[in-house]
Amino acid sequence: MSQRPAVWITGVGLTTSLGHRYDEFAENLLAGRSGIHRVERFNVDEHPSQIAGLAGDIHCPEGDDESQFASLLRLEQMAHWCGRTALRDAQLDTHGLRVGLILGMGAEWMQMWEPDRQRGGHRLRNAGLDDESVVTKAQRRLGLRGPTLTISAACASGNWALAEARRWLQLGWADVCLAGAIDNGVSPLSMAGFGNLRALSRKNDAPQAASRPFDKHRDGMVLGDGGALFILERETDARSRGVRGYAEVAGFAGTSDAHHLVIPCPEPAQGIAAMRQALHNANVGASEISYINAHATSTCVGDVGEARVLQAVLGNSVGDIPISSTKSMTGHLLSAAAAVEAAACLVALERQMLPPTINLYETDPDCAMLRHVPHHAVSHAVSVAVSNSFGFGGNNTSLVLRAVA
Amino acid sequence: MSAACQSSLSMTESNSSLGMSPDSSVTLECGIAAFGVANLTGELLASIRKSPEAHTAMPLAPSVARHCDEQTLAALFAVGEAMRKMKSTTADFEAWGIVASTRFIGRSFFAQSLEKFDREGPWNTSVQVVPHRSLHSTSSTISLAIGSHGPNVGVGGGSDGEGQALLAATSMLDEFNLPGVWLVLAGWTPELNVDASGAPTEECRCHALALALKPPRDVRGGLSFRIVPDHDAFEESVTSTGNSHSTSWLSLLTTLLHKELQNLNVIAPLCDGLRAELVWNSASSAAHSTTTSDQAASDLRAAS
Repeated sequence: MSQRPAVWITGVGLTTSLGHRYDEFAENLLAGRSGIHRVERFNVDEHPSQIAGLAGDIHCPEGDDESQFASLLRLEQMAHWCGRTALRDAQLDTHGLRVGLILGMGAEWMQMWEPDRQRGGHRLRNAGLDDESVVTKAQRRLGLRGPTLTISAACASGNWALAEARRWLQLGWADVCLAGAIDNGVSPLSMAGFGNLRALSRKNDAPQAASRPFDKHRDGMVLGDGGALFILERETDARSRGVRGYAEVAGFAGTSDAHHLVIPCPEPAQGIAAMRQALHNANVGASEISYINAHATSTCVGDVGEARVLQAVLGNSVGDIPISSTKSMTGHLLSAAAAVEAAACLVALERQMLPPTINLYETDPDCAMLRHVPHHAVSHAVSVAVSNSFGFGGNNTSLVLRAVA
Repeated sequence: MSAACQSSLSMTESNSSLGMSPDSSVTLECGIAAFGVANLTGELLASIRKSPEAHTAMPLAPSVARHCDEQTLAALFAVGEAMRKMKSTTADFEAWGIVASTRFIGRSFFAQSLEKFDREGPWNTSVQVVPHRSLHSTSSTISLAIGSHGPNVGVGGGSDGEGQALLAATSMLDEFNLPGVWLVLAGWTPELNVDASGAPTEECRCHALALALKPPRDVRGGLSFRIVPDHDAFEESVTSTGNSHSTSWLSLLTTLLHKELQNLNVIAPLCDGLRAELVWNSASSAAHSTTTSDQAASDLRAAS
């Protein structure tokens, strides 16, 4: 195959605890605000962890039928809001176009069954009622035609969705793509399961200080919900339409630990391989990276493991390349984490500012070799951003985003 | 980001120039080096759970075997069968990728978990839901069992996932230049319905099909499938209502491979703008008939 066409991101739609529009998200991110609070949507008195980064009510996009939107389950609302706003942001009329729709979702059906049951529904027990997947419903409601895909690599799902969209565009399997990830993982059962796994922070008395990646006193992650969808198109198409590109999806790679379904491998060889392969895919040297958005979830094991990956890949540059974990502000959005962190990278590229890791008061000595961005955003020239996501199931991914001219 | 004003006319005009020309769109092909099939009753599933290595020839920690979903067990069984046909061990697949499509994974266990949560509250909720009942759980468990370090993803998840799996596996094999990809499709027949406690309301069998996919140059003979951009079909479909591509790929591929119907090639729509072609490759120049998926289903029923 001849030289692969470059693929740009030209539209963003998101819903997070830091905002439901890109500008709002960017402002809160760079202001170092935490979106984490005590969960009020259901009773958490008996949960070990009682805090989360919730996106709040998902608003009906302007012009859409409000009563129909209200009848959707929350996960469906997320897909619709993010899809509609991304399409509008890209100023894209999809009439006659093959629009690839790729949603990263790790627990779609459980996240439909639980709220449906709470409403008195019977989808969980009756398979015949599960007639339409979220991706099919979103395609229909957004008026799109083209190939669709639901994909999961746990926390790395969003990176996979973007990479697959890039691939489809390069193959000519779609004219444009709407791709990203959503997750409605803050539910009574989910919080109980993760809490009993001892994966969650129990700093319930100080929610906004609870998510503290790389900090010596971290005690676990904080869940969040929401997501981000992006419009991707070939560079030539974006230029001919005269729309602005947020970034080029320049490189991607994925590997598997094959070690454990939950615990990352203490030998980080596969994480290292993923990052090196992604840089090679982007034709970028380690020293050319301007900013790294870390996976770092604020767990004791995971953050140290990632630090070792970065030390191996960056070598002598490890103390020079700034790195932050925006999960310190948003919490961990599970399947949607990588997508929201890609949005954080777009903020860095667009605004030439590095989002901070908040709550980083005493760096873990095993993570001290990294160049952290503690507490406050910093002005910095950003041309290449790398987003790492290392998910459950041993899924390791690295996504490279490059500034466009 | 403020929106620039554009007239709808200019947007429509600009759409006509978007996208690659049909001539530039790429067809991808995979060869099927081997396949394995699982068709498991509840009793067999329990037996595999108890002694996974005896049934799958793959090492699996007892805790994983005890807690993984039935569709994952069926998938492992099918992969093991394919490996046996290839006379291979797990070491041969260290660099392979994995794409697994399951249908409504975890319905029964999730119902049990919710019912237990209602009775006992959060403190006694199982930790096994996320690791073993997520969309990626089956592919990750296969990766763990085989010891493969290539990429692994779960796709689909509902009744429309099998075609998505063909797309994803073909794309993965090509994109990462892998020696091979395991494509695994799993589900229940009939589709699993459960009562309030999570118990199935009728007898069901858990099925899986595992395909060892390789680049066509590495496979001699046998069945291959191609993903072919179909711009004409897309143009026609834009004006029609509905977007139903209901081919049961698990059933079609299983029957085609199992019965070695080497005179039958199949063409079927995969999704809007793409079709799948299942093609038998052989050294002989024997004529092959080509049919659509509907006619193929009818022919296959007659053949069986």
